Parts: sequence; structure tokens; C-alpha cells
Amino acid sequence: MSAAYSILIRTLASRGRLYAIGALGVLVVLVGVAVRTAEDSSSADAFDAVNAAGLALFVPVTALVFASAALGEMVEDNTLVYLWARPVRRVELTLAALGAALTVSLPCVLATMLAMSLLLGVDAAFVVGTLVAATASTVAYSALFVGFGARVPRALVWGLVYIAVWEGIVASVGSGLARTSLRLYSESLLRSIAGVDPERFAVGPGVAAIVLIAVTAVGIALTTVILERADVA
Amino acid sequence: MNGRAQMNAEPVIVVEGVSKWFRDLVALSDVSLTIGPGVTGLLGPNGAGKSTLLRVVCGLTAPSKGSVRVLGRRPRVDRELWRDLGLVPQQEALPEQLTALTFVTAAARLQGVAGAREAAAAHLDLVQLDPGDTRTLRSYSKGMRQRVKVAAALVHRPPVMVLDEPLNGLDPAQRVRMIELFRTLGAEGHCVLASSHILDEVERFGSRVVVIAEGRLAAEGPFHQIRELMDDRPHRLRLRTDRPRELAAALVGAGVASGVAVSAATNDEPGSVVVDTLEVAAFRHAVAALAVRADARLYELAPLDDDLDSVFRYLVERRYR
Repeated sequence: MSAAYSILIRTLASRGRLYAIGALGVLVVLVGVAVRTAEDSSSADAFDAVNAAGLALFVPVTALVFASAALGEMVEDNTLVYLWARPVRRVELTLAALGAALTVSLPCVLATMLAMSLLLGVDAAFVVGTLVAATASTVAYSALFVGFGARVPRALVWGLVYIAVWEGIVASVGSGLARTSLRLYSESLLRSIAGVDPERFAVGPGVAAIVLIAVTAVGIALTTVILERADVA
Repeated sequence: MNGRAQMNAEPVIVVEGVSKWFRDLVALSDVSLTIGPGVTGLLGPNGAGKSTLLRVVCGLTAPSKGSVRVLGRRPRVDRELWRDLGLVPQQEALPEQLTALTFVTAAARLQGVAGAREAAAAHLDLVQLDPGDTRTLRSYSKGMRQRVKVAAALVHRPPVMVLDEPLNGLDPAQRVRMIELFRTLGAEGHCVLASSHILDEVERFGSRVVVIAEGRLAAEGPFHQIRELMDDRPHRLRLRTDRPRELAAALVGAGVASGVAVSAATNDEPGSVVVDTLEVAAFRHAVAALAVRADARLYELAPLDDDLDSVFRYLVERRYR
């Protein structure tokens, strides 16, 4: 698995992607600064800022950019064959791709979310909640997007549409449909750890953790099946 | 059982009634063949289905119909077969950010080769690339990339090697060395299946040839047999002459033409005779003397169907007639 990981990580960590995510991270941090410096800002505003700019935007977009490219780029440029045509279990290739994606995306996410939550200046529980929620959702999104990238052409574009429509709009409308978005579960984790009042459709931390772990497992399983059935060029 | 040991007992690659289609496009049609140890050249024009056949043989894609066995195993589902199988894919693309040594070392590790780095260095050396080269593959020429791919395919010394156009991009000297390498591997008992669309290349690969055209098996057997088939087919040639009718009559009268079509001479251009002949050597031998006898001046004698595509078409038609 380490050999596959070493190929994938070098492919993923391109300057273009790092610059793009870095720029988006700076914007997210600036949102935190803006909220903090607003005259009548409250801890509820801080929560909304982390939720909207972090968990709904920065975390899924960062996961999408790196995870969809982990195998997707190799599919597109026809180099997947160099990993696939080896006596390696497909689940190991999936885990190597997920590991490579997380190696790049998690530091970006954690650094940005840490800076944002510290700048918002609520309390330690809020910072911890932000980091836990961001980590859990980055892993879950990445597990989904690795397979998505391997299967769907132009996965980045379709992934952005999914993030905007499903994780953005549907998750915000406050109906039961929100429970089909991953964002609700990371948001619920943040609420419970930071001690923010739960909204109507929020779930408990146990349920949120179980759902995020289950989504990760399903993502890994689907990617493995996609690799097993792939037509490799 | 060790793959090499198994090869002595049975054909290494068995393709039975394989067809492959992509929506409306039939890439392979009912192909059956067996391939044993040694070097086998897979010959066919571009778009004939060679790469599709090699992909099916390696399990990179499933056949729409039929079955494939490599060393008695099913390549599409038996992942462990890759321990005994090496592939040089057709595409030029390689992971651009890696050095050649990193790439081949990763290949060796994925194959479970002990001393992966040393093995990778030795195989880069074998294909005459510098293992110490610190440049990434992005800066490599087509020929260098091709050699990196060969090193990565050979690094675990598999008993079966499938090479899709392995000589593409190589200069003449590198081609000679690469062919020599394949022949050596074949002589050692490896099964090497290498494709090409160039007849002369395949001739130098070794004695056995499989010809694919229009997705179908056109011919298979020793190279000299295929060559004879190609030479003995009906040929069509065009003669330019100032007396086409007289020359045509002389050719038919002498029995060296099975059919003629005459175009009369004009003020600007000489006439022409398009000749079908079953014995091209006898025709070439007789035509000058017949022209003298007919008092005809010969301006040109040109084959009309000597390109490989025509040869392949003929072989397909002959096989399925």
C-alpha cells in the first residue's frame, strides 16, 4: 500500500491545488476576522461563521479538490493502469488514495479551521468542536469523493454542484431532507462539543459520529467496487 | 504452482471466442487463439483491435463474449495473476512528478520484489536509462518513457509479458536492443506477446505471428508462413504505357495476368493498364520482354495494393471466405 500511496501523494500535491485551497483558506479566515470585529458579534455568530464558511464550504471543497483527484486524475490521464495492473487488493488502493488525499487535505482544513476558530475567540470547547467536526467531515467527504472522482468524468465540477445544492441549499432549508446532507452531522458534532443549542433537525453526537463513520465505510466500499469493475485504459 | 513451470505443460494464453464491443463499435469479433512460450508478434494495422485484445488478455477490460485464460487463470478476476504478468500499456502517459527510479521502484514494491530499489536500478540499466537521473518523467522523451515502461513491466521478471507497441518512439539503435531483449526473454522461456503495426518489426520479434485486422483473427503461424501468404495473394498493379491495348493483350496472352482494365492514352498522358495477377514474381519477370514484343514503351510499373492495410484485408477475406 505504501508504494501506491507514494505515487498518489506526489500526483496529488500539485502547486495549483495547494495555491487554490490556500487562497480559499485565507478567505475563510478573513470571514472569521470580519465576524470577530463586527460590533455586536456573539457566540451564535461565531458558530454560524464556522458552519457556513467552514463546514459547508471550505471542508467539502478541500476534500473534493484532493479526493476526487486522487484516483480521478490517474483515470483521466490513463496512468491508473500502473497501480491497477499489480497484485494489490483493490481496497488497499482505495485506502492508499484516501490516505494520500487526507495527507494533503487535513492539514489545510485543520490549519484554516484552527485559525478561524481561534480568531473568533469563543472558548476552548468551540475550538475543539470545530476541529473534531472538520476532521470527521473531511474524512467522510474524502471517502465519498475518492470513488466519485474515479467514476465520474469532470468530478470536480459535479462535486461543486453537489456541495452548492445539496450541502449548501438543502441542508439549510431546515427540513427533514437536511438529514441527507453530511453537513448536518458535522454541524451536530460541533454543536454538542461546543455546547451550542441544537436546532430542530440536529442529531446527538453519537448518531452524528456513527453516520460519519458509516459514510466513510460506504465510500471506501464503493470505491473498491468501482476499482474492481473498472475498465482500465 | 510456479507460472514458469506451468508454461511447459499448457499454452500460456488461451483466448476462446472473444468478442468485444463498445456500444455500436465491434472492436473484436470471435477471436480464438493460443499463445505459448517464446516471442509472439501481434501484427495489425492501427485500429485493428490489437490493443483491445491485449487489454482483454490482461483483464483490463472484460470481453463482451468469450473467455480468456492466462496460465490457466482468469485475468479479469484473479488479481494475483499480476505476479506472473507484466504489461507495457500503449499510452505514453506516466506519473509526471516521479523520477524513473522512483516509478520503477514503486512498481517493484507493488509486485513484492525484495530489494525493490536495487531491482529497479538494475532494470533501468537494462533498458539503458540512468537510475541516478534526478529529472522527473515530465522531461523524458517518448523513447525514454517507453523504456521506463518496459523496465517497470520487467522489474518482477514475470513469466508472461504483454507489450503494446513497445518499440514506439524508440530510435533504430534502441529498437535493435529492445528486440534483442525480448528475444532473450523468449529464449529463456518467458511468454512475450508484443504488438506492432509494422511488419518488419514483427519479423524481428521472433518466429510466431498473430495477425489481427478489422477486429478479427486474420492469420496466425510462423512468420515465414504469414509472409508467404502475403506474397502469394492476388496483386494489382498499374502499368503506364503508350500502347495500353497491345500490352494488355500480350500480358493476357502470356498468362501472367488474370484480369486487365485499359485506359487509352491521351495527348497529355500515356495510357494505363491495371493488371490483376496471381503470380506477381512471374509477372514482374515477364513484363519487360512482353512490352518489347508489343512495341510498347513502359513508363511506370506501380503496385496498387502493396500497403499493409490491403494485405490485412486480403488475409481477413481469405480466412472468412
